[in-house]
Amino acid sequence: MGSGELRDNQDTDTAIEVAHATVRFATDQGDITALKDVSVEIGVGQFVTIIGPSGCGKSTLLRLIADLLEPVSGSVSVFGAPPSQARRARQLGFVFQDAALLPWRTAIKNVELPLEVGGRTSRDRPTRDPAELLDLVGLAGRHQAYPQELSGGMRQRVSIARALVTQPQVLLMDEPFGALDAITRNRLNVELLNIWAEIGTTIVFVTHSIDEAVFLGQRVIVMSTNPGSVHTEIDVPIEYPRAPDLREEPGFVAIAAQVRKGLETA
Amino acid sequence: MKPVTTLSETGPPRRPPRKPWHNYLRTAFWVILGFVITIAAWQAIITIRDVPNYVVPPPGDVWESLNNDFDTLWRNTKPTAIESIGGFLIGSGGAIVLAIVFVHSRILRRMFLPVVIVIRTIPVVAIAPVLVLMLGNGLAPKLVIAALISFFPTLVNMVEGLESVNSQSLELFRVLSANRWEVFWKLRIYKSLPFLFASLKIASTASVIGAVVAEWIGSDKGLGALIILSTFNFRTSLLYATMVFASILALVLFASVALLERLVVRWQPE
Repeated sequence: MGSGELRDNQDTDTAIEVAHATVRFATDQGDITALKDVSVEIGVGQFVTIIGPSGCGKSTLLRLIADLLEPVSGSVSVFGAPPSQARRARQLGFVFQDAALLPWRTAIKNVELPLEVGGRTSRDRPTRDPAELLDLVGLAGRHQAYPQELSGGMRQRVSIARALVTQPQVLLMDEPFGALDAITRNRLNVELLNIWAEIGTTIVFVTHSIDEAVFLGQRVIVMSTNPGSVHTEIDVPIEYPRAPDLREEPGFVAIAAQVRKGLETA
Repeated sequence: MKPVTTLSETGPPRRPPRKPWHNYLRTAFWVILGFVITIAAWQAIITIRDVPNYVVPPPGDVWESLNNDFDTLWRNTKPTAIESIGGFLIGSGGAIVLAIVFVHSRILRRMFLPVVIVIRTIPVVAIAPVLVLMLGNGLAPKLVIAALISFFPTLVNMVEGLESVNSQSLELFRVLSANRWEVFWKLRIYKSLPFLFASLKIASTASVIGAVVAEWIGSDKGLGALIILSTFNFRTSLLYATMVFASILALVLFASVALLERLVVRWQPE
């Protein structure tokens, strides 16, 4: 496919820029600093994975970009504008950890949800055909199934289709495959890369699996805890398409080891 | 690379396949056996302890009364049914509206939920005479009492149901830039339905209690009035037959709500 080189040329355009962002939560025990002075830059069309120990604020960072949280200091911008603007313009897609499907809606109806809400401004924006998207994520034949009739992997596929229906320029994924078994997870990793190759959207993917982080990303951001901050960034100079047996190759193993060391010192 | 879509409409059935008919028969058998044993025990105690008929009538006498006094019983069931159903609809409807208001206004909720709870602690039998004094002997006090008794469980459950949305669903709707109206109609309403039906089942049977109690205080018709009348005339068999009718009325209301629930809530709540 050679999409790897193509994307490298586009790195000059910035999709997401987080600059010196600090996030605090008020709790009963006092304020907790979830993120401290975090700076991240992600280019248009890049696939970046974020990894770190629990409590390092990787989900917080994702929510900052999605306009679900605001920093107390520092700034966040998506395509040069505040995240709230990107959110209202339907440039953001979010995939949650537990799929967050509505159980009273069939798979296809769940995918259609973003087209039914969000006011008039968003309705004029280009959208994708929900049925086509369900086929793309491998759910042809299960369009009319209710979420409780689908396996965990299938539900997460529906939730990916739902995030893609508004044609977002940025796809934010919060440990989407964390609750799945290893076989399903590896298969979905390959399929996610195929989808990325086809739609070319910027993807920020949070995970706690080293293997997944290296397999998917062009770059792995390693975060450390107390307070949450960026520890190191590790490039993954492996070409796409990436096949599952890549995991046994020395180049992959070496990078995975590098990420693991990063996590140990985080 | 896209899969073929010809299979796309062939989803699996929504519900598990129907149980074979003999399973229903088997269930019915045990239910009927339970009633038969209970009635047999009732007859046995009367015979063994030699209980006088005007204190506890034997099952046979009650059966006779059900047949002989059917017209009287049926005539008095109608007003009670109207009061129960009317009160149930008014009470639950009002509770649903107030729950929606409470969910959207924290201040109103903080002010009036305690008031509602205090009113709730007053027993219906204590409120009933007050209402009869206020509203007279007609339909109004019965409707109000049946409505009051339906109101509280529905209000409490409906508020809980509307607020049972998890943070991920709310985040999802925020990412989609949904407004409050959309969050309400596309998320909260559906989340509340299982809670609502659970309370409607309670309220439907409670409304019959409310109507009967209201009729005790001041009425010359209805199952409540018939209970008072037959008690003072020592027509114990008729009293028991009236209780059977009141119970059937409550069961019919309960079953109607349960049926409606099956038609509306077609998904499995998480």
